[in-house]
This record gives sequence, structure tokens and C-alpha cells, in this order.
Amino acid sequence: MSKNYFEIVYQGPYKGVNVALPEDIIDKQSSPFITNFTMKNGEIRTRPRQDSNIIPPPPDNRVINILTSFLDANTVTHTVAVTGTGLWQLSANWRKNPKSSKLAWQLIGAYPTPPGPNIPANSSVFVNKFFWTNGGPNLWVWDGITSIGQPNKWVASQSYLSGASIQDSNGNIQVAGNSGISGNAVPVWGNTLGVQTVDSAGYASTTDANIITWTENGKPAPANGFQAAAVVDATNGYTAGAYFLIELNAQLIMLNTVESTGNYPQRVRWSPSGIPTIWDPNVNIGAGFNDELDVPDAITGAFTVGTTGFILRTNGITELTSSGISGENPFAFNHLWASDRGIGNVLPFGYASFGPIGIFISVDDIYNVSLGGFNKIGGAARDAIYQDIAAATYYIIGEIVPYYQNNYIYNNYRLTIPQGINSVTWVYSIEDQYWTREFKSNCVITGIPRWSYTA
Amino acid sequence: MTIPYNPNGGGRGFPHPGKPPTYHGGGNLGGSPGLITSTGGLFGISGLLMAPAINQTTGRSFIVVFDPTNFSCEEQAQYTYRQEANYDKIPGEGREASIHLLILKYRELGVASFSVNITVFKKVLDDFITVQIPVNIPVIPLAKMTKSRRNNFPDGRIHTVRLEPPNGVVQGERPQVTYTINANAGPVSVTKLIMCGNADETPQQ
Repeated sequence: MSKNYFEIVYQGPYKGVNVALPEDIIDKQSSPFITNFTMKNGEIRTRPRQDSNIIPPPPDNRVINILTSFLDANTVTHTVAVTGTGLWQLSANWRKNPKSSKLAWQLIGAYPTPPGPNIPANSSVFVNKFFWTNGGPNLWVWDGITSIGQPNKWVASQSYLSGASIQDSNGNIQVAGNSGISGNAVPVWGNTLGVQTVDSAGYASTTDANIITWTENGKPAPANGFQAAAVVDATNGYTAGAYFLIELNAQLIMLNTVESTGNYPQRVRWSPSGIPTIWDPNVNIGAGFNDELDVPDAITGAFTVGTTGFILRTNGITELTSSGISGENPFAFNHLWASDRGIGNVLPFGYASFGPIGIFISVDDIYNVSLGGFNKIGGAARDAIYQDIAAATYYIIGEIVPYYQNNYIYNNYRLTIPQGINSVTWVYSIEDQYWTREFKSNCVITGIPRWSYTA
Repeated sequence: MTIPYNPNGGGRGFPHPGKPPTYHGGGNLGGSPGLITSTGGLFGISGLLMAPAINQTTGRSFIVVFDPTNFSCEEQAQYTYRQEANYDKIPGEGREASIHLLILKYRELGVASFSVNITVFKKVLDDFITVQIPVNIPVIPLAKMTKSRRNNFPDGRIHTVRLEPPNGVVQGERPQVTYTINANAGPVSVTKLIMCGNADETPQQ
């Protein structure tokens, strides 16, 4: 071995993309350029394959806005897809006909009214029901149970969950205020908006916990296999939808609302606790809304971290916490800052949350918010990420993916940026705190990636 | 009040608590006691990470499935190390080196073909040159393996391959190693790389 012999060893743990320094100054564990490699467990490995021919899409060939699973009140799992046509469900025997969309997907119902723009939509599962809204004037719901689309008639001695709705003999919708069992004879239905009916016929005691109290919620909202859930003015039949949807304090919350009367980019609407099918404060005082008029910008997203909600605005963030007061003002709004310019979320579908972590994109960096506060996470890859963001040609979609399958845990934040007909995805390893870059040709992601049931 | 007993596990009233949900093969799954039967549905025993997508050339929607059991990427892939400016030596900056060997340690995940590339800056050309070293996994073709080894391929263990540049040596300033692999060319998983060479030690001119 000569005197000037050298050996340079490269080994993990690796630190991902680093464009914050020239490529001859960065450390050995960093890379100036990565495409389609991942560095889980200290190995430089080609990323997991992304197949496009395992599960066929719904047969309508419309843009898929949502693909997710939920558990209904029977503890039966449903994997659903929302398209411009309506709501589809993955059939249990799709594997027998994986090439045939018509057999793999079952149409639950088509939209009875125009659904809203073909943008990435928001969804939430609450009291075993699947809610979604996509920028149109309706919040839609399907509970996975038969015939919810056509308002169910009241049935004697039937068990109902809190929030269940039926159509009474007057043609009005009645919403169950608590879970219980209906009486053995038709009650005299209250025929005035917000009036309650106690369904106690046949009960020995009027204090029996199974007695259901129904609340009159006006005429039925549009329905067809699934139904619209948010009648915000039952007197006039006005409905509301939104761009963003979260659940906090056992209340479903819509943000940046689209209503029969117009768009309200600064509005936050909520349902009463545990009753996501009532939205008119005149029907239940637990429902309500608040316009964020004291801040200069629009709502661009929302997520929850523990018992705190974060309302993302273009130039700021508002904390949303339970006020501890039931009734008209169940929430306290605390603007962390309300300046004209500041740290906020500039990509309406680029944010994501998982458990105690939320991630959003501001004009100056990518931020991680948790109960411990805010942290910049763009790190040494920030400039390369923002260069790709600047080249975006469609909606940028963010999501935190905790695992790819049960035995492949890889908690990462994925920021997918459409560029023409292709997509670039920046992947942030939450565990190891590094960024890598993926590329996929002829692919534009149209909804949030989710681990969903297939069997 | 009298609650009717429904032996079919669904419908009205609270049936006997011992009645489990039933599955009839492609039809509706059974329900919990007392609730109307669900519409279709799944058992909720296995799933996939999926993303809805569209091919904007054909206009067709499709579903992307992420498969962590298969690391043969369907797209081209590349990983680039830093440029080695001083070979961990002082003095080293601005000097040429001669790279004669790369020792690559990898985890055997399946058949793969890829390239290990060494790029150097050539002062006389004022340009970069890249030398490509093709790598095939397994290093010994399957047909020439012993039967027991072939039956055990891929073994998921760490293997070592020694790579020499086609012309014996790569000379230049700031050597930089890159892995490149074509689409569908197999799974690659590098655990360690050692770049071996000699650095010029003559005084700077």
C-alpha cells in the first residue's frame, strides 16, 4: 500500500437530500440528488414498487377524489371511493374480477345535485359514518347501512344510534339525540323545527335510558344512496359543504364553507356534540358557526393534535380548543398570530396530520407542529422542495403515511407535486428526519393516499 | 316492553348476544345485534396503501398501490453521494485521485441489474467524465449456482462484490459515486460502499 492510499467508507444512517451546501462540502451521509431510493434502516434501497394494475378504478373513469376505509356501526369495514359520479364501494369479491371495474366496485349512489369541483376532497369518519365534502354546498354521509339514501321510515322497537335520522309521518326528518330503542307505537311527531319528540311508547318508566329523543330537522336534504347531512337553515332548506372537515370535541367541523347562500372562506361551522346530522343552530343550539373576520386571510386547512385543533390560514394559524361550555360557544379561537404576513399554510391540500404531529407548508419553510410547538423541517432539502413546488401544475397533496403494510412501518410525510403529466413526491422520514425524492411518470395523484382495507 | 328476538343476526331488536355476524361469500356481511344489515363491506383483515391518480395523457383514472414486498422500482432510480474533495486527507483539496476499486456491500433481495458510476472532474478538459461499472445480482448467475444456493436465492443477507473500473482505474478530481438503475431492473439495497484509491500528493502548482 502506497503512502497516499485512501479508503472512503459510506454507510448509514443516511441523512437524505442536502442542497444547503455545495456537493463537495456536504457530509458523506448526505446526497445532493436522490430519485426513487429510500434509506430506511440505514440501507440505500430502491423504493417500494408502485403498481397501477392491482385494483381497478371505479368504472365511471372519473377523477377519484377520495379513497379510504371506514368501520360502520355493524363493525363491518367499507372501502369507498368518491368520484365525480358519486360514492363507490369496493366489493368483497373484487379479487375474483380484478380487471373488471364493474364487478370490483359497487355504486352506492350518484350525486343528486352537482357535487362540487373535482378537487381533492376532505373526509372524516364520525360515529361510524363516512362524511365527505368537496367544495360543493353539501356535506355528504353514508353509514354503510342499507337504504340510508332514501330516508328511512320510523320503525317500532328498533335500535337507533345517536345522530340517526328517519323521516316521520309528516315528511320531516327527525334526528335521534341519543342512542336507544324506539317505542312500540308511533309517537306524535313534533311538527315545528327544532321541537323534540320523546319516543317512549311502551316503556314502563319515562326515565329509561333507552328512550330516544328525536329532534325535528326540517325537510329531507338531497339523497340518493347516500345523503346530504348539513342543513344549516332548515326553514329555508339551505345546505352547506366545505373544503375542509375535521372532528374535535365529538363535534364535526367544516371549514372554508360553501353554502347555498354563497362561499365563506373564513367560516367555521360545527355540529352539536355527537350529532353530526344537525347543523342548524335553530334546531340544536349546539350547532353553530364562527366567521374569522378579525384575520385578513382565508382558511386553507385544519387538523387536530390531541385535543387541540389548528385552523390553518394563508398567513397564520388559529388554535381551536373546547371552551368547556356546551351550547352557543363550544370553542375558543386563539389566533397564534393575525398579521398580514406570517407563517401559515399556503398549500390547501399539502398539510397532513397523524396523532400528535401535524405538518404544513408555509412560504418560508415546512413546519412540524406538535404539542411541543412549531419546528422547521425543510432542513437541507428545503430549497430543492420549493423548486419542485414552484413547478407544480395541479393540486399538491400531502399525507402522513405511518405504514405501508402491517409489517413495513415507515412513518413518513409525502408531499406529491404534479408536474405536467408526471409527479414528484418529496418524502420526509418522521423517524429519521431526512428527505428523499420520488418520481413517477404518467401519474397525477388526485386524492390523499391512504392505507385501506381490501379484504 | 317486549323486544322481538331476531335469529338472523340483523334487523330489529337485540338478538341473542351469542350470534356472530355471518358472511355469505360476496353478499352482505352480517351486522351487529339489533342494527340493520350493512350494505356489502369487507372483513377488515388486510389492506393496501393506495392513492387515487389519473393519467393525463390517456385521461384514465387509476389506483396506485404501494407494494413494500417488492423493491423493483417501476421507474428509473438514482442515488448520488457527495463529491470527495480531499479524500479525508490533508492536503487533498484540488488534487487528482486514482480510483481502482469499489467494495460494495448489498442485501440480496432478488435479481437486479444496475450501474455504479464514478464521475470525476478533469482539469485538462475543464469537464466531468463518468465511468460506468455494470453490476448484476446475483454475482454468480443463477444457472451456475449450486442447487442449494439457487434454492436459497435471494437469501436476504449482506453480500460483497468488488468492482473495478473497466480500464483499471479512474483518474480525476473530486470523485463522486452514483447508483443508477433502470425501471423494473430489480431491487437494490446497498448497506455499505468503500471507495479505494490513491491521491496525488505533489505540491500544488
